[in-house]
Amino acid sequence: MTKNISYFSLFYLGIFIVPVLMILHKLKIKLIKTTLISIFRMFIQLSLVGLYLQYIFLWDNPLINIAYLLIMIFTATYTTGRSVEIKIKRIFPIIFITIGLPLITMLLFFGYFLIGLDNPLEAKYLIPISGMLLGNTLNSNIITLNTFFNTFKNNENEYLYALGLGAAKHEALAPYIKEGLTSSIAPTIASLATMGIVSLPGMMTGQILGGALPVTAVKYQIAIMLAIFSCKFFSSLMSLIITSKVFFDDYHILDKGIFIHN
Amino acid sequence: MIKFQDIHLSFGEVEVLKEFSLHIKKGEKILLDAPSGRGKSSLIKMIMGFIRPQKGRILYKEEELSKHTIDRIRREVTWVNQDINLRKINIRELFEEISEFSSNSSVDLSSDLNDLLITFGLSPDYLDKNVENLSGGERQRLGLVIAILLNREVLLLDEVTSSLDINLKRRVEEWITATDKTVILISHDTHWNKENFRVVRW
Repeated sequence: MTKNISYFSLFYLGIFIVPVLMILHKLKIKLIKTTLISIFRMFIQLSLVGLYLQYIFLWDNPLINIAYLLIMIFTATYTTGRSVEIKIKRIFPIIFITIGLPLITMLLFFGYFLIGLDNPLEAKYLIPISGMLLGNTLNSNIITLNTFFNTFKNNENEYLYALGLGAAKHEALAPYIKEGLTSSIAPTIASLATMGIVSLPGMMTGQILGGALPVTAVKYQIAIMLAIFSCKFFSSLMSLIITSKVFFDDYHILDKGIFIHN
Repeated sequence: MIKFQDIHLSFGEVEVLKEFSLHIKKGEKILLDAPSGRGKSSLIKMIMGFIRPQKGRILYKEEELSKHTIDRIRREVTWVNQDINLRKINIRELFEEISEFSSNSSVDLSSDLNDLLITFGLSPDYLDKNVENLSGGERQRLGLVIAILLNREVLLLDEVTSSLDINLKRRVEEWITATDKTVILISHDTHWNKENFRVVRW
């Protein structure tokens, strides 16, 4: 087990925060209040998470775990929906599926086959792994959808021209789909290549601090990276496929009514 | 060939077309003549299904525009835009891409390509140029070359000669007059010989 630290000792870290505030004050950078509020929020929010996770792990009740997972997916979907310029009502059901489906598939695979759990819904595994996968798929969906719709809107004439030249809808859309997918996975591909040299990933570091053997921690890390990569890809791909079906009319023209500002 | 019946079109508050009707016969050469903002380009885009009127019907070969006919229309009609604005690919790749589009499988784009490029004052070296580096006039010429190679029944030409020199403008007019295709033309150029066209004013 990891050696516990007392709440009191956390305040010692204030030694490093106080000078930051002083310098901000001196430079008249108006961030002191925001910084203090943010630190306070982090403190409260994480304390609460710590508290209820403790109970969720303790009870380890499948129904509660599933409910918790659904809340996580719901929140991730909402956050994603708020970050794209599409009306939330229209995009929410789509993202809910495209984030939820790859996630659940991957969770089951991870639990059953990879770790070999008898109960793949075991909270101790389910929640942290979901959190990591969700954070990443959420991010890549935002990037994918924004890239897709922005490039599309900026080049709509080109799309129409392609349709007029005899392209089927999927052929005319291909360049924008490609762009959207690339933007989603390119950063992950880059970070895979520097893994272990530039960054020691948080999960692995956490496990080592938690007392796991580094060799075990590394295997988990490799597994989670591959899982993240594939989840991101399939989630983004599904989002692109579904939005390009649902948001275009029967003449293959984008319905501008989906945008918040049109 | 193409019929507009009682078309109403407005963008927000602005009324662009009102009770507009027009029948175009096969092989006719139509010159649309109306001030800017009166829906000339929109009319052309309606045939392609890019814009839908609020009211009215559009018929192509006696069939109403619908999801069942739109793909066929887009295969039989070529729309040449004011400025074709295509991605950062060179012209050779552009032609390859166009010939890979599923509905162009029976079209041979390469046979007359070099001759046509030369006719339009684009030497074959142009094939290696990027579309985005072309001037306005060069793009218009390229657009016309593509339209002629696609060899479809109907041509919708939206301001395709504005940046061409007078010799080329004349050549385009000769080509339009000689072809048996149906042509709808929008142009602010003044050189057109009105006798070669059915001029539609509103």
